[in-house]
Amino acid sequence: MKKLITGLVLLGVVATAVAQKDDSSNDALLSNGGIESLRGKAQLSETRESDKMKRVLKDREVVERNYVHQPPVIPHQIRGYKVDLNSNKCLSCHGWKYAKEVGATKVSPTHFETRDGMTLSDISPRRYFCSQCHVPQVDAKPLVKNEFRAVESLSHK
Amino acid sequence: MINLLEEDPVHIAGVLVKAFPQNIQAVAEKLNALPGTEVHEVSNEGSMVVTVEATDKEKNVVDIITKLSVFEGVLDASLIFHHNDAGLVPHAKNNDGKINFK
Amino acid sequence: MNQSRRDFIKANAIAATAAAAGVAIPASASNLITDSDKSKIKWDKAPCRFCGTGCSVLVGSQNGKVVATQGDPDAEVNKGLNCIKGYFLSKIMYGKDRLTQPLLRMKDGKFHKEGDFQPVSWDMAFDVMADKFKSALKAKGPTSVGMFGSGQWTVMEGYAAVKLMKAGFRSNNIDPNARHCMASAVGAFMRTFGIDEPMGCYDDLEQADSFVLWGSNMAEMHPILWSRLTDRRLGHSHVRVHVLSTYKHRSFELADNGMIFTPNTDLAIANYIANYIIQNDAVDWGFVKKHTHFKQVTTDIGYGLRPEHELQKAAKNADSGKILDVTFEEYKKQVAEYTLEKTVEISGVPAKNLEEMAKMYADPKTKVMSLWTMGMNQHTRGVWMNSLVYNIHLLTGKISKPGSGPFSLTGQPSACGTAREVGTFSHRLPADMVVKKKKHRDYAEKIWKLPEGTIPAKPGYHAVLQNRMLKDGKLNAYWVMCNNNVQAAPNLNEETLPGYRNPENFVVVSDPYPTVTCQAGDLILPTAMWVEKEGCYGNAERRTQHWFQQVKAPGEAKSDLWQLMEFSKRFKIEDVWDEALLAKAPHLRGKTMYDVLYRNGNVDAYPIEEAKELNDDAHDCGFYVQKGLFEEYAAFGRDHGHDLAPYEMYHTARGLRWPVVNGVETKWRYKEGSDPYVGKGKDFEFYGKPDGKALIISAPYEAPPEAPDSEYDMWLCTGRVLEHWHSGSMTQRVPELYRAFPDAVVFMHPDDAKKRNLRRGDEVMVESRRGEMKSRIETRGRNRPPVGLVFVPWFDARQLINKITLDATDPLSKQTDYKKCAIKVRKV
Repeated sequence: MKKLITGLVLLGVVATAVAQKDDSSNDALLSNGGIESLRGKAQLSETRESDKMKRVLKDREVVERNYVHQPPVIPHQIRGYKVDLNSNKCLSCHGWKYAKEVGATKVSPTHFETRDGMTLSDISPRRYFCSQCHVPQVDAKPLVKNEFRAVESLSHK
Repeated sequence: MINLLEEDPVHIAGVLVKAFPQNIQAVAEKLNALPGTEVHEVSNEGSMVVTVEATDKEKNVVDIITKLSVFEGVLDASLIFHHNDAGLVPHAKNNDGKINFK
Repeated sequence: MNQSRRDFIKANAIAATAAAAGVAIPASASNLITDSDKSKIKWDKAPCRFCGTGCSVLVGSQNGKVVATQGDPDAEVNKGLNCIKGYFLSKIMYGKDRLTQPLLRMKDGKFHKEGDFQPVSWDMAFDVMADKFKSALKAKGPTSVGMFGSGQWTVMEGYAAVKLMKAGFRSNNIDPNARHCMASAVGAFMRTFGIDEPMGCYDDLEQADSFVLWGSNMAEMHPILWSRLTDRRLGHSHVRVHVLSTYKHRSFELADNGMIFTPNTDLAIANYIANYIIQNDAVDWGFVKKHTHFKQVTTDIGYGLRPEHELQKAAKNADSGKILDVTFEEYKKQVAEYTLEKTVEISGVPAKNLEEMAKMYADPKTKVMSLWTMGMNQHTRGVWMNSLVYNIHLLTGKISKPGSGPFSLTGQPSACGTAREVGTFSHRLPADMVVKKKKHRDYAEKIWKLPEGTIPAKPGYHAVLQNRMLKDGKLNAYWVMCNNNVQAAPNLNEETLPGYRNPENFVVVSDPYPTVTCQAGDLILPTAMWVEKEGCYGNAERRTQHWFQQVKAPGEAKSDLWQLMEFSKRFKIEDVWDEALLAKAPHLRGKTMYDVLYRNGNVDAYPIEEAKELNDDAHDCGFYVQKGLFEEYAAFGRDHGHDLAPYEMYHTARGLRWPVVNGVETKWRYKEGSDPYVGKGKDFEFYGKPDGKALIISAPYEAPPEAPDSEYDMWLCTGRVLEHWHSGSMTQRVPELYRAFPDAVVFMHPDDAKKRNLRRGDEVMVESRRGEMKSRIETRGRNRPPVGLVFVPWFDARQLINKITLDATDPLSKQTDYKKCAIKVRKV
């Protein structure tokens, strides 16, 4: 831990020097104290360069899940997909009728259940807006590593 | 990996079966031979942990359980766990994805 | 090795049956799961850690870690569903940079404001902290210490904090981040009904014929409630959805009647609807005569800016919340100004759309639910605006009935439970009581077994004022807990940062992760979160939901509750109380603040044996502290319209909606038959008011404090996105959520982009009179602003949009308006 902090301190000093505008005593006072947040090493007073817009991953294999009830992420682009009062673009591939034909993942049987636990012959309206639970992924390394571990029977090793 | 989406509907029941301790092993063997029925554990007190799955022939799990309960040597069969995602009719939808909710 | 779903379900079947049979998990299952002990997941319930919807989740843990979460099928709120954030709850505690030990800014082994953070022991952390609080108290008295708390605190934590600040330190300088979020709703509820929080409940969603979203984007901010609303709309063809906003967003996907209005003109729109109702003789006179009074606000009340600000000086009645009596005829005349033509002109909404909505409100047969959150609350006329919507429902009698009513949604998991019900505001006490009223202070002191006069009568510094007072050097020892206010508060450059880094001040930040607030602090305390402690939250429909501790916190991280109570041990009561007060309670002399506040026979009334084995807070105290705090707190509300059930009941139920009288929850308040507090034969009774009548409060349209001009030529509206919650300190650390929405962007109309020679993805400088920020242009995303307005989400610590926002507040509720200020955008 100590080593980490010393390292961060050094980096913090470099960042301060780059961002320097006011006198140095003010900088010391405003410094982030050598710890990194999601902002990285940038000082709070600094106008940080914005990150490049990231590319959405498209047409990949099905992404593995971490636990049984995790909604699968979308392994393709969805830009321009219309889901509204009149139509649902997602279901035109993922609906049971078409899934096999187009090689898409079928909507889970859980989605046919109503709030009261009744099973319908079609997707329950409460599951209509797919993107509430299913999201595409961009091509980017996580900001911070996550140490969550799935149960052994599900770990993808 | 578990994939909920790419498999056929599943219909499984966990059934607690009771038999007289003295002939429980014999009963267990016979049950095991039934299609769709599996005995997983046999206790000395006369309880068996059994799973029942729907098969092509016997689509109704309840019927299998009923059979179990009248099986020779079985005192009682109680349904403990039940999972069923069958009975789902693939929905009808136009090519443009429009659906009519009734 | 693939394990099929069939095998998995079979394993569950075996496990369940084996448990029923009382036999060990059979060995024959070992081909499914290699080691049965390892495969055993312990499941328990907890409310979601994010928004105010209050979904219940099932949390699976194994070997001391959360390994899975899923929607709770038995919970009425969400019936097994979660949104994308809720489904990823299992990962929020496991960011690699979790804080595991206290960190203090030091030079040469000692605290130094300009030093760098070094790990220290809890002992040393509390030593330095207590020293700073003691010197502030000594030098400038109780008003120099303060705390910024949270609508994400558990009810017990918020309650312990209120006691610590208001009775221990005798400072009312405690305010929650819920001030940024719900204060306008609270203000209007209190003015109109005399009692806080919605009268209806989520059951309305399944019964309404029409929904109106007043500036709310439920599709992204309250996805599970949106799914209930969607269910209703798609399942019943007569149902209509009206959506009002200053830009187009996902909720418009379901809208039958979508309306884009010019910022701040919702005031005019609401008045037009009232006018339409009167002009078309749609007033429910039976209801109005029996259950309401007409009033009007005092106008020209300023914008909650610093007193020396030009706009404050120009206001005739700055900060005035005075309301005056009017007759119906006078009220009618006031709203008559808002004709259809005039409203179209002010708001920019087409006549056809406005009329369609007005007609729906006026139709006595249509049950209508009005829903809102930040659009109406983060508004310099937020309290007025909330009242204007109540006016519509009161005029038509569409209130407190299944499917009909105004419903204020909540942003935080316990903004209602902890911030509002517990009263962690600078002016409040539990159960809607206020520090200004002697009767209320007496009541609190009696429950707390403290001498008369312990609680100061003057309200303390509210959220925005706290940052101003830090900057001005009047608030010197400050504790920020369970929030990320450097990122969340408005005007970071001019107020927040100078305040936190003022050399006169010592700022303590408690958080599970190193946030930007931590970076601006002097001492960082590592904090246990969510199911690493036992607690309870209160959601937007008055539902109180409990959970047990399910895993241990990492390293030396400790809960907010532990931190508050442990810190209180560092003070003798003589350190914090003056001689005059001590003389009234000589038996308390020589005791610690901890003894006085928490070992008072109430909080420590329940033995440790009643607590679970895994309950670190209780075992550290030696008694069942959560139950003790909850039961003492519940004494405030029982028989006062805020009744809570006994503690244990909440551990079995999926939450209960207060008032809970004789074990029965209340779904619709103020209505005879469904609310036990309504007198027999009264039909409706707004019992928060002495005469049982609610107020219809007239208020005009007034302009916002800052609007685009030739230099700063665009409106800025800030807000959230579905995938991230608030400042992103939890959700940005979940890889799937980060990858779903990695960086904040500037949502802009393509014409505006073209005018500035910008293309999607270009880097831009966003500037206001207060600060600047670099971001990227998005012209095709989920939000489609009209020409002249941009939307920027605030979750991104790497961009910090609050360098740009204005610290103007509603002068009545003191809530910041994050939805409108003037900016310019240029290519970098």
